[in-house]
Amino acid sequence: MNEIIIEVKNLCYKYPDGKQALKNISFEIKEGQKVALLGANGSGKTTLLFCLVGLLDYEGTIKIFEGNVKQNAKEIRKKIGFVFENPDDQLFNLTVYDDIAFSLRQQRYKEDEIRIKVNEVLKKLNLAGYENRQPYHLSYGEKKKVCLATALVNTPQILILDEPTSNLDPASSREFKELIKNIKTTQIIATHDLQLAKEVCDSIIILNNGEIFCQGDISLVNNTEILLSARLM
Amino acid sequence: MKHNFIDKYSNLSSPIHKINTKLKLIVFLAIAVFISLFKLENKILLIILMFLIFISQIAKIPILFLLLRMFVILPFIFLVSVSYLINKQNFSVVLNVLLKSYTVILSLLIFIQTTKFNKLINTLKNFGFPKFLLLLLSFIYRYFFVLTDEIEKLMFAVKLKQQKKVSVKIISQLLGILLLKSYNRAERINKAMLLRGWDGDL
Repeated sequence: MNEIIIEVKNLCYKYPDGKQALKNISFEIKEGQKVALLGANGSGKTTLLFCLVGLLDYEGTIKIFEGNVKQNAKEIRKKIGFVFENPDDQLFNLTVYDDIAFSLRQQRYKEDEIRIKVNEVLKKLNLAGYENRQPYHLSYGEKKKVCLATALVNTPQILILDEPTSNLDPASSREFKELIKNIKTTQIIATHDLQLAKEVCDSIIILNNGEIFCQGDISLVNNTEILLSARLM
Repeated sequence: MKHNFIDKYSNLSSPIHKINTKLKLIVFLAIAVFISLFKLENKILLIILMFLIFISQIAKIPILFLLLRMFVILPFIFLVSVSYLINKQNFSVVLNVLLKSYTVILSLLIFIQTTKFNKLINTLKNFGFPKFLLLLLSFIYRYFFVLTDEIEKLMFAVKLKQQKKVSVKIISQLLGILLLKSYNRAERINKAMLLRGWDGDL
């Protein structure tokens, strides 16, 4: 049986204005599991993801690879790849190559090693030839793929994707789904795209107003009553 | 939205584009500094100006583009010229200022238009420019277009809601919204950087 790599207990988070964003969230994720974090707009999906990587000051306990996120955020983040909803928030370098190489440079890899790793990930995501392109000039779908490349170049043990198919046209969405389907690592995908959840994930956590509404096997996605109650239909 | 990039013609292919960026920076900067600091006759300035125009044509930069860019400094030259004329200087001195200004601007324009911005930043980094300044420059370049898109969207929204002329009050409100949006985006970018192990280095 695969071991538990993410353990969240009684997680609570309040926005700076005092509004409760997350209430008593508890769940566990096993290695290799692909979890869809479902919820309507404003249900707390992105906030939960930011808590998981220690970017927000939460109450409760989050353990990733048995390390407490509050105390070891920097070390834990090295094992996690994160893809933001809006690629313009994530791609801040002047070329695609520099953007993908960014985290490797921060870890002081040698330029030769960086080149090999970047080229490898570019090839894997059908982005060969994009090295010198400026991220701003790319289409939305291409930007999303570059974002995925920036996360994958570190060979993360956990991949977190925030609304990976939002704003994508059907063809790009399909291509993106295929790409993440073929990534074998543990994944947490925040989305309200039920089709994506069905195709890629094996379990779900549904959030509603900052609370866990239900969690379990992916077959729950077929339960209309649950989806309607969670404002997902 | 169609953007006007400051290095619009840097993707072209010409012998000038192929010159090493470090060498280009030194040469064009040296021309600019030399012209600014030393007293030169109008004839010599005119020859240098012609030479730079010739270089710009080898670099395939449209002459009209250069002229329009150079017009930007006209008001400043006009002010300087008026002050010279008031001080009873002759016209050749005014012409000298005009030629000097245009030659300096043209040399810098050719350099910028034949060098990709990322290469320029890397070259400046190699020359020991402060990291903070370079980081700031690259962020301005990277997000200037995102910001102009935001402005355009806001202006569209105003036009759709309001038939009358855009008032100062509305412009100030738009600026407020833009500030908040920029602040929020900056926070998200900072998060993205932290997640990718940012330690303050480029």
